[in-house]
Amino acid sequence: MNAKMLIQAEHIYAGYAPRATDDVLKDIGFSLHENERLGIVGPNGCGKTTLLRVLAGVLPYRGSLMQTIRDPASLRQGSSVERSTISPREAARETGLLSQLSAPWFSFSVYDTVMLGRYARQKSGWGWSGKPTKDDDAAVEKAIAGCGLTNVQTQTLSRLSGGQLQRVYLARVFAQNPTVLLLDEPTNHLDLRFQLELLDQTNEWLSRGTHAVIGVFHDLSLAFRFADTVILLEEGRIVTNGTPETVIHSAEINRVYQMDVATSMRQLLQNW
Amino acid sequence: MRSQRRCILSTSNKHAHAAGEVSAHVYFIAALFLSLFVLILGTGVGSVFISPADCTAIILHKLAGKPLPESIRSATVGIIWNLRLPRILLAFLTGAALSVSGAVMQSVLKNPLASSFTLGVSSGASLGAGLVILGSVSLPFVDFLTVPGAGFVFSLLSIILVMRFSRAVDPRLDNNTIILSGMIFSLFINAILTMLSVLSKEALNRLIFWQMGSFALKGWEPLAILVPVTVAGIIGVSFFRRELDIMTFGDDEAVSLGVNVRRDKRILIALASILTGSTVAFVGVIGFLDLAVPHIVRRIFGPSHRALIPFSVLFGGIFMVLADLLARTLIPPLDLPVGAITAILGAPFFAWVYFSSRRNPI
Repeated sequence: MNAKMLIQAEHIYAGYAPRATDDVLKDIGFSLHENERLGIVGPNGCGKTTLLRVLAGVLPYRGSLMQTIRDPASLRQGSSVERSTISPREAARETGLLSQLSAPWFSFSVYDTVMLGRYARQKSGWGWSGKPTKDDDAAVEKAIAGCGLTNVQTQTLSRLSGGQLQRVYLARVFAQNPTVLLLDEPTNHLDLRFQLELLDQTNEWLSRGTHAVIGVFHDLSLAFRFADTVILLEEGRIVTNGTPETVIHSAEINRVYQMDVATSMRQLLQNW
Repeated sequence: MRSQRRCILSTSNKHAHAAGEVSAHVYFIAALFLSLFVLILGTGVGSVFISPADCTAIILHKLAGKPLPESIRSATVGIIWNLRLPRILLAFLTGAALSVSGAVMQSVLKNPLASSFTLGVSSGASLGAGLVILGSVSLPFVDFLTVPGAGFVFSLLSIILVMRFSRAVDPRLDNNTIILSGMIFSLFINAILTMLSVLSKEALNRLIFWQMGSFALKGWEPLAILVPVTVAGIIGVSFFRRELDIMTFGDDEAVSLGVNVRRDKRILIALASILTGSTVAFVGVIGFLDLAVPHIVRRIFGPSHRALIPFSVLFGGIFMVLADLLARTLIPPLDLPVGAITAILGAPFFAWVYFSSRRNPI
């Protein structure tokens, strides 16, 4: 493969309890390359979200997770660094997370919320100083326009619908503009049209630079439509990975979901 | 229409040079003048009314050596300079410190009801004060610092214990763990204090009086300590205004946006505790303001900490000076506990603010 490596994971273990026997993720290994769209699928509780939280730096892990630094401002640009040794600010230029939708506590305006995505690229300052630069404003306006939010940008978050709110968070992570975008079930709570729109917007963002996306999907059809490579998880372990075609037609997928996935999908959709 | 009511003033970053930003600055200057007005009002009004002109003249005389008009008696100078002015300034400072502390705790712990009081800061201070009152301890040379010193040390000890305990049971330092630990420790410390206070009736009376909170007869000494501590604390908090904005969205989001949550959360809780602990140690437990003022400011100026911190300083100060003014003028010979006034006035006002926005998050 000639595309450059962005993430190389080997023997990753992680969990929420201190004991190793309670690990949610066991012996995870995969690699992510430039312009790749990696989909993670698996039944409820298999560790999809946990894996994403490890990659986002939210959850500690054991094993080796090498992240290639692509930020031109970094002294370590081009080198591959252990994820846990990267400072949060530096890491936020390499990975950005779109979490599952949650209601905000305090009602910021859409514009201010998207501007928070620029945090890792701004200098620290205090008092009334430290205003956003022209670059920040340009990035925020572009992200807002790209997500179709221009007409609500001065509104507060509490007045938005669930679909609009999810697009605000998407715009925020686009304004952050990390190398690798991590999507945690991004299409939950979204109408079908917004689900497809969100994937289109993500593809559009991908085409604008050397990025990559890792997406956790509940909906297998969306995962197979979106991803170039799919990882199938079962109880914290990778069962199979490969192109969507090979995973769809693997014997493992039926075993993991404990049903004939392809037949049930066809049955579900035959009314159309 | 509803959007206008939800956030009367936009402090949005959008078009920084346009209307929203300018009016926030204008409102800040207006609030500064209002503070000045309230400070002069608080100095003039009391059992003896002294005209604003005389107040200003006396203050300028003391500060700049300006000659006094013949009409002003020396007793009046004494009332202003030795009694009222330090009292008013102490009230303003306490209101500012408590409000900023409340704003920080609410945002960092992502809980609209969190405050340093729920984390055990005031219980700790009470226990410290109670121990030295009961034991009749007094520091040599600086006797006036005995009770505040013990209160401050114990308030910080209790927050350190709460944070240590939270980290032991939950290494990720989840907000609910911190709040629950704080409440458990508060109840525990209060129980110890109740047991101790049974030992001496005379000490119990002093302790209750101390706990109710008062700005009376403190003199200038507390200000010499509280001014630098409070100013430093508020400047320190302002340094983290963008981190505070981001943390209100939750820890996972904050980490992925680049905030060092584990470090910054601890620094901010420490700063908020020092702000509360130092004021509580000198003036006793005055609740409610730290809870209500940040919410009121958010309702008017939005949740961005760029506006929330400075306006909490001024609004908190103004509210506290007015509450103290009521405390000493409502029933003339009596000096009512100011903590009761803040709660009696604040609770209905806060209820109105809260329930009128119930359909939306604050």
